Amino acid sequence: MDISELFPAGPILSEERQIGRVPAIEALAARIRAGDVTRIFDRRRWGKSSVARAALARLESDGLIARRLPLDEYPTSEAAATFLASAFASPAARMVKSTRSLGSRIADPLRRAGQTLGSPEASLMGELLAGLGTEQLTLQRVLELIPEELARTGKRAALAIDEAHIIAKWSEQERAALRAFFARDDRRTGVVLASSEASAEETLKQPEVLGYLGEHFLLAPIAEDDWRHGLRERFDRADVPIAPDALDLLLDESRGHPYCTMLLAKHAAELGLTFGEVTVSVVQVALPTVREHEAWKLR
Amino acid sequence: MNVAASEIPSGAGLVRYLYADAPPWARTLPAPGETLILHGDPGSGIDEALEWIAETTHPAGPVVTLDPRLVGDYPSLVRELVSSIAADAFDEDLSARLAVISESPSGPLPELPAGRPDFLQVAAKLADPLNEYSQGALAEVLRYLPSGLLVVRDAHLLTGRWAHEALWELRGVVQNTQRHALVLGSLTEAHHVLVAPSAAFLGAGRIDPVGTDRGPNTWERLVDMHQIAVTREDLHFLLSHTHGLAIPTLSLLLHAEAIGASTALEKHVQRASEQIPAVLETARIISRYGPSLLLRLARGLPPYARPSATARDTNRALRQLAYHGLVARAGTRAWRVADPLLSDALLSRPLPSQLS
Repeated sequence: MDISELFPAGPILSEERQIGRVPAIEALAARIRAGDVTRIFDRRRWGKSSVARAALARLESDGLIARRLPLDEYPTSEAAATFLASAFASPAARMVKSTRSLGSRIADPLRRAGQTLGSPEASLMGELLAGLGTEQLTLQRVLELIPEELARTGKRAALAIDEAHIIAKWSEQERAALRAFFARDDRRTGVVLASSEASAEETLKQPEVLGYLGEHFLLAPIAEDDWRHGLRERFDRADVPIAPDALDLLLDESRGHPYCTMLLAKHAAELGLTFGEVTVSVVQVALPTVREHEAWKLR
Repeated sequence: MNVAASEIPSGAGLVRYLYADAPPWARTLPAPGETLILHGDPGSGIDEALEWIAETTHPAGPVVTLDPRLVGDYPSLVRELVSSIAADAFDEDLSARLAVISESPSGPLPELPAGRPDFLQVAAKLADPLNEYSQGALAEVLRYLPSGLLVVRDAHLLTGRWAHEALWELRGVVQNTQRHALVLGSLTEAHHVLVAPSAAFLGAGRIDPVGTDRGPNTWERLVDMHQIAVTREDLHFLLSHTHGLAIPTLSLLLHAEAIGASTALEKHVQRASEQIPAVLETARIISRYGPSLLLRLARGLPPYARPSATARDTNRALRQLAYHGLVARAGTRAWRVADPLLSDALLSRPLPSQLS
């Protein structure tokens, strides 16, 4: 197996690629399943998004509608509304969403093109565009529709909002709509708010932003025993078994920080290929390289 | 000079000339979902490396280049990406139709093909008069490109306030959709802003330097490989003036072959001297200590030993000049004028008495 696959240093990892996170994933999934609003605000490269993604994957396999909304990619309320409409709504609403992103002025040419080329989809989208006002797909409206849609279908949902501090930049009406959505008592939608922005917690806790909604979720350090077991197994799978004292040194130097540990393990494994094993000397040779890495200071 | 400008390898041709096989950093070109940050000193060939990548066939799909150097606001940046996608990802006919929309967004629309939803979405982005390209539009436009490699030149410029959170948007699309690969190019002294503790790409990509193989051995091999008729003595003489940087060294070597090393150097320095007024003016805009620092560094004088500025002031000025590509590091604690030929040319400028 490829060493980069065995020792992945970012970006967002599925559950099977993580080490020692099962308890955290289970606990987070339980909170989401219960319909709670949970906040994970921790340092960068600590595994917040990976744990949230793994929890969502478990919930999705349990039949929940599970979506991750990364606000770095969808930073405005309009973009978030479009994303949520697509994620939660019915196929008809998805069509409206598609047409909205196409823009209204293009409706006539699209309808004509569809008729000329015999494309019913293009014609239909053109028809929809012609009658669609951009004001119809606001965050407030989408957040009203999601519970209705869930109640109608009898489904439950899980939503992980990454880079949640961006919410503070939205308008008061939009934040109020979010507060109302999070505070619903039907508990059909569990929410995780994640951010590594230093002031995220203080910002979002302000009454006019999200107003103390939700509970903090502590993403505890990965237990040393889990690291030892998980890393030893992966070094074996890479055909470069690691000596016990080398593993001690590796964990001592990386201080158990998830990203830094995987980074040092990856470099040590790559170097170890030459010698057929990872010894203390191999880890020592790998150290100067990883110390140069911009993320090493995170540990 | 006897060697025509067209005979000096440039752009991607420079990379092909320097490396018989693929260049060392080509082995680490990113797969979909991955990011590579390439950085180099001015003159090292960093821009040429990006041009070489733009000409490669990448398994992820079309290679699209985004150049923010002439852009200073977010809507223009989005429009630039739309144009780049049109030029690099669509065929000539579709690109021409997009150009019509781009040049006159409120004019009559050209005929639109129904079978290309990716094209229609980009076209709509250009055509919609209601579209203000608010934050998030860059990510939206990139998502319209079904897959591909995005190359961003001088990516450190996107950390400016004008670009809003453009780098976060790019990172978001690359990591979340896993359909695009990303190469960010930057100056060595500026690339740190991409991976700083609060920056978008901290721990999110591989970092490789370009043009660090500058030693005499490398150039001796190259001279032999291309049978450049320059003696070892002349080669080493030229390298002592160019720090082995790819662009000035190769240019000098090819001219030296025709007119001799000393004459070639003299002519190149003469040409560089024409840039002095503009460079000193730029340096002054960047920092009030800029011109004096350039003059001191050109003479090999220590930048810090000046009573008129504190070490902190000088450090800050040096970092600012480096960020804009006017100076570069010459070791752990030493600095030099980034363009070695300009450095030689600056020797012709008198050093004000208070700076000596």
